[in-house]
Amino acid sequence: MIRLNQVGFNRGTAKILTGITLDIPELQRTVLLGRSGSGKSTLLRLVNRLLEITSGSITLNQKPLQDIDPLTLRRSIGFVSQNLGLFPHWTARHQIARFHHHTDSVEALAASIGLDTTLLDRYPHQLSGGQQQRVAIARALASNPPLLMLDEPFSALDPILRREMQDLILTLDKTIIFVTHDLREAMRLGHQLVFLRDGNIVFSGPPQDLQKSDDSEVKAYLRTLDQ
Amino acid sequence: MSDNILSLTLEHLLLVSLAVLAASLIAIPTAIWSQRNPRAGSLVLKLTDIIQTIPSLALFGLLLPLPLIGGIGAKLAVFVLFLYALLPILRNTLLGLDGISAEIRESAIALGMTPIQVLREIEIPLAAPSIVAGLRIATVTTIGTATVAAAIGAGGLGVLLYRGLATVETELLLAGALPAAALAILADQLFQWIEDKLSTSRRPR
Repeated sequence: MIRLNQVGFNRGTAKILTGITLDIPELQRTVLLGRSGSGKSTLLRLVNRLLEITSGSITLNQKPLQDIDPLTLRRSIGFVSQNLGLFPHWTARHQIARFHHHTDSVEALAASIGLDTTLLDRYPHQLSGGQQQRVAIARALASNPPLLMLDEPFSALDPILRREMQDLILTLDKTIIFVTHDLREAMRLGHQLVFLRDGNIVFSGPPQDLQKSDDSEVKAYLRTLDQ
Repeated sequence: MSDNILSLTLEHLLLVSLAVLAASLIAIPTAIWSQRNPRAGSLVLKLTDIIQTIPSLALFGLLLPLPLIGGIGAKLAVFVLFLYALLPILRNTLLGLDGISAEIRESAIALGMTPIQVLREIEIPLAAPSIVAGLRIATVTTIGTATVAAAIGAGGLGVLLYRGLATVETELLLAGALPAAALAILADQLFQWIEDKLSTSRRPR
C-alpha cells in the first residue's frame, strides 16, 4: 500500500532519517519501534506530509506522494498523536462529526470504539483518560480512512487501560502504522516490526524474528523482556 | 447641565468605540500574522510598545502639525487613541495564539483541515478569551486617555474636566470624572463577563 524507497529526511544539517526502505502492506499492522529520538515519529509525519522528504521517494498505491494533494492525502489517513490533540473547545460529538464521512452514524462509530454515547456531549476535560483515547480514535476513524497512524497513543495509560486499548486496535480492519517505544506493545500489535535506531532501520520483519537480530540496541530491548 | 453630561458621555463613547474598533481591525490580523512570522512579529510588538510609552498629551502635540491626521478635533483624537489601543489587543491576541499547543494545531492539520479552517475553527475560538481580555484592557485605558482628547478640541467628558480644572469648580470636575469612571467600570465588567462566558465549558489545554 505504502512503499518507502531510500527515504531521507534532514532538519537543517542534521540527518534525522537516512536510507529508509520499507513496505507497508495493506490491512496489516506495522509497528515502528525504537527509542526516543530514533526518528519513528518523524517517519510517520513524512507519510501524511506534515514533513516533506529530503531524498528518496514514498508512494501510496503506486502513486508518488508529491502528486497527491496534501489535504486529500491527510483526509485519507486517520491520525492519533501522543497527547491526542483533542480540541478543548469541542464536545466529543463535534470532534467526531466534524470529520465524519462514514456510513455508520457518529453514535454507531462511538459505540463500536467502546465510547458510551451518553458521553458524546462532554468536552475533553470532562472525560477520563481512557474515554479521551476513544474519542481520539473515533475521530481518526470518522472519515473512514483506509490508513490509520498512531504515534505512541497509549504511553500515558495505566497497564490495564493500555491493554484494553490495544485490544481495541486489534479489532480494527485497517492498515495501521503504530509508533511505540514499548517492546511488549510492539510484539502484541505488529504483523511487522520496524526497529529504528538513529534514523536507520536496523531490523524489519515479523515479531518472532526479532531475536535473530545482531543489533546491540535490539538485544538490549529484548533483555528488558526477561526482567 | 445634565443634557450636556449625557451628550458629552455619548461623544466620549463614540471616540472610544471608533478607536478600539479600528485598533481591533488592525491589531488582531497583525497578531495572527506575527504569530506565523515571529521575527517580524517581535518588531511589530516593539513598535507598538514604543508608541505606548509616549505620554498622550505629548503624542497629541507631536501629531497636531501633521497633514491629514493632524489638526484640532476628533479625527486626531481617534487616531491617537487608536494607536494606544493597538498594543493591548495585539499582545493579548498573540498570547492567546501562543497558548495553543503545537499538538492541537498538528492534529487539526493532520486531520485534513485547511489553514483557514484551523484559524477559524481552532485558533480564534481558543484564543478568544485572551483576545477579549485585550479588548477589555484597551477599552478601559482608552476611556481614561480619551479625557485628554478634550485638550485638542475633540470633545468628550474631558471637556468638563478641563473646564472644572480651569475654574476650580468641584461640581464640574465631578460631572466629568464620575461618568468617565462609571464608563470604565461598566466596560470592564461587560468584557469580563464575556471573557468568563468564553472560558467556561472549554477550559483549554
